[in-house]
Parts: sequence; C-alpha cells; structure tokens
Amino acid sequence: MKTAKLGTEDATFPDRISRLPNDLLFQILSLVTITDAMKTSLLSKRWKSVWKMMPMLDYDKNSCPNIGSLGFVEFCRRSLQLHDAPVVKTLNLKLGEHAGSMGSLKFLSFQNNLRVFQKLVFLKLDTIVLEFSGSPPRTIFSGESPVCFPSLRSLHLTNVTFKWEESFCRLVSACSVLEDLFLEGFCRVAIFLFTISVPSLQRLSIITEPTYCLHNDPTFEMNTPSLNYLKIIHRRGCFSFVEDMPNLVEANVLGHLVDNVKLLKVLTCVERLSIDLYPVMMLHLADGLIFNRLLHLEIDTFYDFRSNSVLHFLKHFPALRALKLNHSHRRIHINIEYPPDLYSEPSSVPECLSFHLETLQWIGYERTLEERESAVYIQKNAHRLKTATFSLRSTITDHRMLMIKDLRCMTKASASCQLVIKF
Amino acid sequence: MSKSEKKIVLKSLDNEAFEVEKAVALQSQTIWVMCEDKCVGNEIPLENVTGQILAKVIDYCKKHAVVDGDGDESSEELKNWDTEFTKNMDQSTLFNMILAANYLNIKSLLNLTCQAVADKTKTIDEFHTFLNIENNFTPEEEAQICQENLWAFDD
Repeated sequence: MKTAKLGTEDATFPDRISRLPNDLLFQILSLVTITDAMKTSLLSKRWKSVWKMMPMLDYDKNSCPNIGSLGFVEFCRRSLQLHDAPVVKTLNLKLGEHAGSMGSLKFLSFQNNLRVFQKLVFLKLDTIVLEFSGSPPRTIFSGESPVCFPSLRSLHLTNVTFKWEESFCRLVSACSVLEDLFLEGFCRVAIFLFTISVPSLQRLSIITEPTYCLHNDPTFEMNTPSLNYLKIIHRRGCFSFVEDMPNLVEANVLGHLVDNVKLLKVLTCVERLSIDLYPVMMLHLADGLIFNRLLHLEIDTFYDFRSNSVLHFLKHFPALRALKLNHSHRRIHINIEYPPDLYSEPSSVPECLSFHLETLQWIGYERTLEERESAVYIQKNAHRLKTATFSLRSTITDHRMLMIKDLRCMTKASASCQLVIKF
Repeated sequence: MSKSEKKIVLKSLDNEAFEVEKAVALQSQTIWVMCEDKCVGNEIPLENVTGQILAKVIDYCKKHAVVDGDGDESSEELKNWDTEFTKNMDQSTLFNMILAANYLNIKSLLNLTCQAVADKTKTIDEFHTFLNIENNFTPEEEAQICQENLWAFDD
C-alpha cells in the first residue's frame, strides 16, 4: 500500500499521471479537446484505451479546427464508433457557430450500430441541422433499423434546425425512457407541428427567442401525462395538451399563449406557478377554475392591469402561501374588456387570506387608487401574513416618502407581519 | 468554549497538525461528512495526505472560504490567485494535489489542478516530456495504432 500514499515520491518512477486512477484521468481528458484526448492513445499501453472509456464526450467543432479532409460529422461518427465505455453519461455535439456554418447531422448515417447511443444517458445537441431521416417520407421505412436511445434520460437541443417535421418527432420518439427535454432557440424551415408524445417525460422546457423563428408560430402538441415540471418561455405560439398532467408540480409560463384555453386547466394542479398574465386569462379564471394545490404564485402583469382585480382572483387559489405581483414590465394591450364585476371588493374574504398567505411581494408599486385599495385589503384580511414587501416605482423623493408613510399606516390583521420597503 | 468549537484540527499522514477554522475545512466534502457523523472529535486524521500537501490544500481553502464578511474578494482576483497557485507547482506536487483534492472531495480544487495538468499537455510531445510517460509500445504496435487513427490525426 506504500505506493498509494500521497507524497511518498518514488524517484525511480517519475511518471505520476499514468498511475492515477481512470476516474481522474477522465477528469483531465475532459478538459482537453476530443482530438487531443484521442491522441493520448499513442502515448503508451496504459493510455491506449483510456479515452475510449471516458463517460463524458464533448465534440465541439469550434475547438477542433484541424479535423482535416474528413469533415466534422464524419469525424464524430468514426470517433464515436471506437468508443467503448460501459455507460456514456453525457454526449455533447456542437457543429457550428451560426446558421451559415452549421453542419447537418444525419442520424440515419449513424445507424444503431453505435454502442455509445445504446448506453447514452444525456445527449446535448447544439447548433445543428437535424435530419433524422434522409428526405421524407421514403427513408423512414427504408428497412434500415432506426437509431434509438434506449437509456437516454435527458435530451437538450439548443439552436437546432429541424429539416422535416419528422426529424423532431422521430428523434423524440426514439427515446423511450426520456425524462427531461429541453428545447432552446430551435428553428425550422417550414410550419411544423411539434408533437411531443413521451409518456415517461417529467421535465419539459421550451425556450425561444422571439426573432429566431423564420415562419409563423409553431404549434406544439403535448402528450406527456407524467410531467411534473413545465417551462415555456415563448413569445407566441400554440400549445395544446392532449392529456391531463396530474403530477405537474411546477410551471413557468411566460409569453403570449392566449390561444390556449386548455393551458390554465392543465395548470390547476400545480404547487408553484409563475405566469405572464393576459386579460383573456382573467376571463378564463372567471370561469371558475380552482387551483387547490397552489402554494406559490408569481404574476407578471400587463400595462393597464387593474390591481384591484387581484382581490377577485385570489378566491381561485384557496391554499396560496406566497404571492408575488410584478407590475414592472409594462406589456401593452389595447381593447381590453374586463368583466364588469372585477372592481368592487369581493363579497367574502378569499380563503387564502384568512388562513394561508404568509408572503406578499409587490414589485412596481405606485400607489394608484386601485393598487392602494388592494394593498389595504390584503393586509387588513391576511391573518397569517409574515412579510409584506413593496418595491416602489417612483424616483421622486416626496412621492416615495408619502408612499412609505402610507404603507406603514395600513392596518394589518397579522400582528407579526414585517413590512419591507424597497426602491 | 464557543471559540474552540469553531476551530478544527486536521492531522496529516506524517502527524503534522493544522488548526483551521471549521468553515475553511468544511469545503472538503470528506471532512464535512466526518464532522456530520460526529464519530470524530475535534481532531480529524487524514491518512492519505502529507503535511506538505495538506498545508497547500489549506492555503487554497482559506482563500476560497466565505467567512463572515470576509468573502468579498472579487472573482477576478480569485481567478488570478488560482492561476498563480498552480503555476509553479512541480509535477509531483501537482499530482499529489489532484489525489488530495479527490480524496478530500473538494470539487473546485480538483478542477483547478486537473486543468493545470491539461494546460501543460497540449501536444503528445508535451505529454511525454512534462509527464514523463514512457512510450512502451513496440514499433509494430505503434505503427498499428497510428494506422488505426490515421484518419483522425492527419492534420
């Protein structure tokens, strides 16, 4: 065991790195480019197969400029074929810096002879044109066995361009145990219907920059009954939910998703919700949806949101413990028609105020009549309130002082409530 | 009493004792687990690390510790400090640091030291010279591996 002790330097054997355990060699190799890692197979017998056992592989075209005549995609293909780890935790493939230089990845050319894909847990594709099948619809049934990822749990697609509608659907359906799907800045060359039908899926994130889509808004059809986390950050788009998602715990929905009537219904079972509020949603809420399990709610309001309407929709969240109102981003809407009964005080105190609400956070408080009315009502009726935080939206010192004084004087039902004022 | 509870003694393989702030030592997940278990007293024996290496590890941890109001060093400064820290380490110290960081489970230190090795080994020649790796292939074996990988290394 003497040799295993650190610091007992053996002068006759100065090659320390070769004696490191494989795990540490993998760590070092993960910090050099894949081409350099492959080259270590030329070092000595000890090194011949080390890179082939690496559990994390990162193929980034930008960091491998000297591939030579092969082209990067072919380089990836051949290199992956040599790989032999019992489990590949992560495979990153990044093909280009911008759309013009993107390589096109034909998964069919990889076929399923790649052991890497069989054992892969996390696949990340970045800046790639994806052609899952050659040209539709012929090659889908061309007799070749399709690529599949039987162990893949997590799939992250960043700046991926889909050549055909099938490219996306087939990729997703090739992952039979997928739990986490992340789509960011994707692009497609025509108007596609993106079908996400994955019974095992637990986390779904769709994030799109407003300018990235070339054509009309995409349509997503989701059939994901096991989902527990949903994040949609999307300027516009149509999201339809085929099945209920009773396990959904957290949702983050930012963007204008007005076309979607079912969205709010799907969200009624969540515990944490962050959402951009649109006038039409308030009408849907008025239809009597009850969010029985909702504990944390964060609302980003629109420009002429009437703050006292908060008081009316609180009754839809009977268990609410934390409410955050963000009135600082001013999205503008015209021709809003409010339901007429939204402006008077509610006839009975909402259940969450009487029994549950502990935290109130109000960003962009200006002390308009309506805002003041809501702030007074909530504090007067929230018996369990522990903290009320107001971030003031005013640069005029006198106005600020007036707001602070006014907020301090408001009656509080909860004696232990702490008032926090921010600028 | 409360003052001594904040301190902890680390004992190296060669019986050198280091008294350090608990917050400093707890950056090591290994030490953290030992403390959680409460099976050790205030003195923690580290059977795999020599005093010479442990002193360097503690230097690193002191620099990276966030102790009350003391952790406002800018990230830029910290990065420069890290670079200086590994810059002049000889090969032997560097590898002992890697093994110590691995044993003590200090992720950032492991990354830093592995990166230092990776930075010094950009080419095969550097691998051979800096790391003293002996090429023990027979000429036939070497020719075969080169042949196998010709497509990848033709630059």
